[in-house]
Amino acid sequence: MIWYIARRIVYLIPTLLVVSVIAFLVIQLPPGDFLASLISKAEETIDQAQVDALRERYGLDEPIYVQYWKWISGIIARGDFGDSFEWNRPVSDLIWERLGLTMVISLFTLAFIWVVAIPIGIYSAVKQYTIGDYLVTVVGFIGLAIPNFLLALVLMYIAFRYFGQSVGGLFSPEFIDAPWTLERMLDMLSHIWLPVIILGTSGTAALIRVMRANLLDELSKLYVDAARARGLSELRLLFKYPVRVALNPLVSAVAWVFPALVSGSAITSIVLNLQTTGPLLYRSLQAQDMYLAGSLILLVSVLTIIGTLVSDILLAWIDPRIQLQ
Amino acid sequence: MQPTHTRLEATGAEDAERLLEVRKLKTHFFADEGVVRAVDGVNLSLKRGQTLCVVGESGCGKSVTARSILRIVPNPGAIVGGEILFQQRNGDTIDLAEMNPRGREIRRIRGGEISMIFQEPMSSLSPVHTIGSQIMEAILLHLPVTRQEARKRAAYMLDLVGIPRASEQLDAYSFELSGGMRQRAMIAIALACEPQLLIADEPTTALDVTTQANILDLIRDLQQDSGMSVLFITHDLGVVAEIADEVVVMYLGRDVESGDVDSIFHDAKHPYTRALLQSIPRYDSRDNRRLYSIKGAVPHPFDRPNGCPFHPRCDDFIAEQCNRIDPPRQVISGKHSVRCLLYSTAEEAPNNKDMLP
Repeated sequence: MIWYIARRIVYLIPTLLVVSVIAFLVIQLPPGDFLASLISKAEETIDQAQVDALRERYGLDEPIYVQYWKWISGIIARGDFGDSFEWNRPVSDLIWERLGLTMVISLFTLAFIWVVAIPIGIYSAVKQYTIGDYLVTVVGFIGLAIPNFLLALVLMYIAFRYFGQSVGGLFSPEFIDAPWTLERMLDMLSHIWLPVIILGTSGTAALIRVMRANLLDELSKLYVDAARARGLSELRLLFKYPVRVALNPLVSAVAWVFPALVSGSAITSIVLNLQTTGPLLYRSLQAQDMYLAGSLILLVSVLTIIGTLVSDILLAWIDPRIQLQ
Repeated sequence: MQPTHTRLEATGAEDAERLLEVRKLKTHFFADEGVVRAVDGVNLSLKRGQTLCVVGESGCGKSVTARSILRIVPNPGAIVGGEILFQQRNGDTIDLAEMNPRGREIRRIRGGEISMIFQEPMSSLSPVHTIGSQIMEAILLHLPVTRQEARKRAAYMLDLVGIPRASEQLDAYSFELSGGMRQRAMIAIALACEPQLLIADEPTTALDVTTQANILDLIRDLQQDSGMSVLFITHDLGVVAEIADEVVVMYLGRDVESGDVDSIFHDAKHPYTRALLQSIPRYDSRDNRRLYSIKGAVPHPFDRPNGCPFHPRCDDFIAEQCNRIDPPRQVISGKHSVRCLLYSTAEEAPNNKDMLP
């Protein structure tokens, strides 16, 4: 097992390298650069000397591989992700807190999805074709069909109108720029439920379907009958055998749930005014703020790869059929 | 009175010998398209220490009969009539057909007094649990032992069924064993609590011929040592000849003929039984005859023929009789009985409508 994990970690290195190259190339693909978009947006004309000075400062004239090397070597050697053109600050100043908040929201959302979807999925499979199953199915499809940002608007209205809660953001106004304290933590926890529900709805709906389908596959297998013929009670039987087997594919789903939550929730995060990476990435791409965008894409990719690694290790641990070679 | 009943009112001594008595069992499946009468009035009787074989083509209700006894008929099936009388270890006779299929009582019977092994050993063991944990589960459910004792007994059972290096194999997963070894493991689970009755639902069908013979020998040896009864379901008449004391031939949910193994093999009455026997390939036949096969196929469950269900495929079909009259059970001699109009006595044949089970 330890060798398996070690080998998987070694395999990560070339993958990460390729991912970083692709991330860098992708942000270079659109025509023009940050300065071009700055000039086009500027109210008054910027004189050429000023542009040249900026161009020199950010190394925009150098060949692309030199730019890449400067960027990646800075990250690896010094944890220096470069400067954001638009914010005029080091990228690392901008992203760490946002990345932390994103992780917190993602983990809460993942937990919410599992806690809600797994029991409902089990119920839906065990009571297949009953009214309860149909009800769950309908609600699930509605949950899948409603865009998250729309749900965000509706729930924000409800929270504001009927519960009088300050909506949007993860903190009450007085805590936004406060340093991390226990009060700030508690304040965040009192706000986090709304984005978690909104971000988790479609994932929950999807996972209910997956869980139901997986479990229905397992329920009809002979080993379930065999266990029943041994005299096991229905409830113990259900959780010990078919549910246990049906959960395996869900573990591999961790890998893709994670990046989807980090990057896929940009619009919802903008609506909810969440200080997560989604809105930052969106804005940096618009402004062609390449070091910021590149860093975010790189980090999301790294998270995906780590998520895959974690789910592979979990699967190898819980499913004895997986060969550790 | 019907012949069936005279047989049931037997002497007390014979009653004590009788472990299982299935009377007019009906298990139907309520599908959207209609009702499938998978088991439709089956009678079985099994004595202590004996082997009863249930034979018939696929789709004749053999497996559903077996599952009905353990009350593990899958949805949307349900027992709609009949009795399944089973004599428990304490001497009381209970009707399994009346029990709540999810209740505590039937769970005590399952695995404890009646065990079952299935057709496909490949899929009847959990893919993610060890063999040992599944044997121990059965032991801990039914016997008052600690985990250590259960583990010891599990190893003993694996050894008993001929699995080499038994105590090591406790921690093996099913995918690490061959088909034959898996079926041995299933037998170990089934016999771990010394049941009175083992139901074997085509336990050798999915195995190769050599392994089949080994498994049959194993079941027979274990039966001789423990004195348990075996209800053996198969479509392989060669197997029947080898192990059966008594035989029930099923066709479309009916017991068309039943009797001891000699009368079935040497004095078969029902045209279906005779056709089945004729279909056995013989290696000693000199002439280049084609293999005999019964004409037609088992009809679709929704299109069950009227009268005798076998009449469309029968060579001895009596026009205007077989397609109208559902033949009653006729005792030929002793235990040998048959449902066929060819053998019904003149005075019974015309008005047997009210005798239909």
